[in-house]
Amino acid sequence: MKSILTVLIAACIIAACSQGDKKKSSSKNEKSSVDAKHLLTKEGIGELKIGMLQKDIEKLLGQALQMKHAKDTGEIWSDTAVAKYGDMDVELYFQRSYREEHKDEMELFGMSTGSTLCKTAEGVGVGDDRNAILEAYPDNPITMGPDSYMVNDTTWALSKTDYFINVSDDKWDKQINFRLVNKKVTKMEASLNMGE
Amino acid sequence: MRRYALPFLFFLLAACGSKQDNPATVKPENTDYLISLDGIGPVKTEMTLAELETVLKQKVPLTNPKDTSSGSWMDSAFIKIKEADLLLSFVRTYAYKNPDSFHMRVSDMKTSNPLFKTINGIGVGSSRLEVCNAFDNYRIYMGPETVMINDSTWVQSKDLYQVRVREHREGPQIVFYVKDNKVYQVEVGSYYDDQE
Repeated sequence: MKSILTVLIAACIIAACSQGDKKKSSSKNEKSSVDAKHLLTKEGIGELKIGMLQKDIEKLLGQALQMKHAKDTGEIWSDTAVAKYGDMDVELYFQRSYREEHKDEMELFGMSTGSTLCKTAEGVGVGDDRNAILEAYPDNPITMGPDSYMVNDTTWALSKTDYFINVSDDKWDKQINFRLVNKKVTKMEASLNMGE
Repeated sequence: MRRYALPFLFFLLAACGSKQDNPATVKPENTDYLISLDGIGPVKTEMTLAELETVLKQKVPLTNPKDTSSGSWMDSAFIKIKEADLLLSFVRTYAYKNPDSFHMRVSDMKTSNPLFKTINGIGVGSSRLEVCNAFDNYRIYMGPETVMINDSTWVQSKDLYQVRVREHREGPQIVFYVKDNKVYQVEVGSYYDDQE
């Protein structure tokens, strides 16, 4: 009886170990359904898309955007604003358009959020770690590493806490950027791929 | 029987805990087979042919020493480090002080032998994730290889992948060539922005 009990306990332990491994390796492969408004792609977040003009975003949100440097009397070439969208705080990055049809209008060239509501189509979101991102994008071009910060006027050092992961695709036009602090995603961005 | 039950269970638990250790993460036995940003084993990037021959205590015959049409701007050599093959690439380097004087220096080196490993035990057979985790504080540039499908068209490979590890944006690098999520070749050399 005792030997049967021992064998049963051993079988349970082995089964539990293998279940744990399976769960670990497949956890990020199961795509979770994300509300359209909370979906982050390289194009943007929900209906907010890179390339939109300030006036189009204000129409979409039904509110005027408060630009951070609206009172700056110098020539403003780029600016940022924070907007509420889909119950998330989204930071919007604008630059002045030089296109003939929208000359001098502010155009969206990137956006970011730290909201846990926001996810990529692969199910990656705030709180995930680096390996979750690497498993979610096995075939994409990826650039990653510790952030650099300026120690003094002439010296740069690598951060011990802040890390970036930029995920591109074969178009190399736009990308998803993950900002990590202490190995966990704290912010996600959609941006133009400007190189380094 | 009963007195063996508890040790047996401890043994099972220990076995479950240790089974994730991959053979690819076993550390190299000595520096003869060590892969680092500086080189592989005793061979270092930037070594002159004469320095290399001194270190190896043998002549290193270049592959194309009699090529007069190209001027032997670049060349290569196969060498053996104990049991393992290493392919070396050389580039002609001119001396500043002596006109028409030059020497060949090592520009990069490649191996497909699993004996060669980094200090963290990464080498042929390691997975993409193991490479990334071993170089936590380095800049990593990775993505599918670009392959030429005809005279004018390049596409991203569906099965060949590269992981490039550097300390900074430019400088020495280790390139891990990956197929089916396993490293099949390792290259040590350097990258500078004007190379591409």
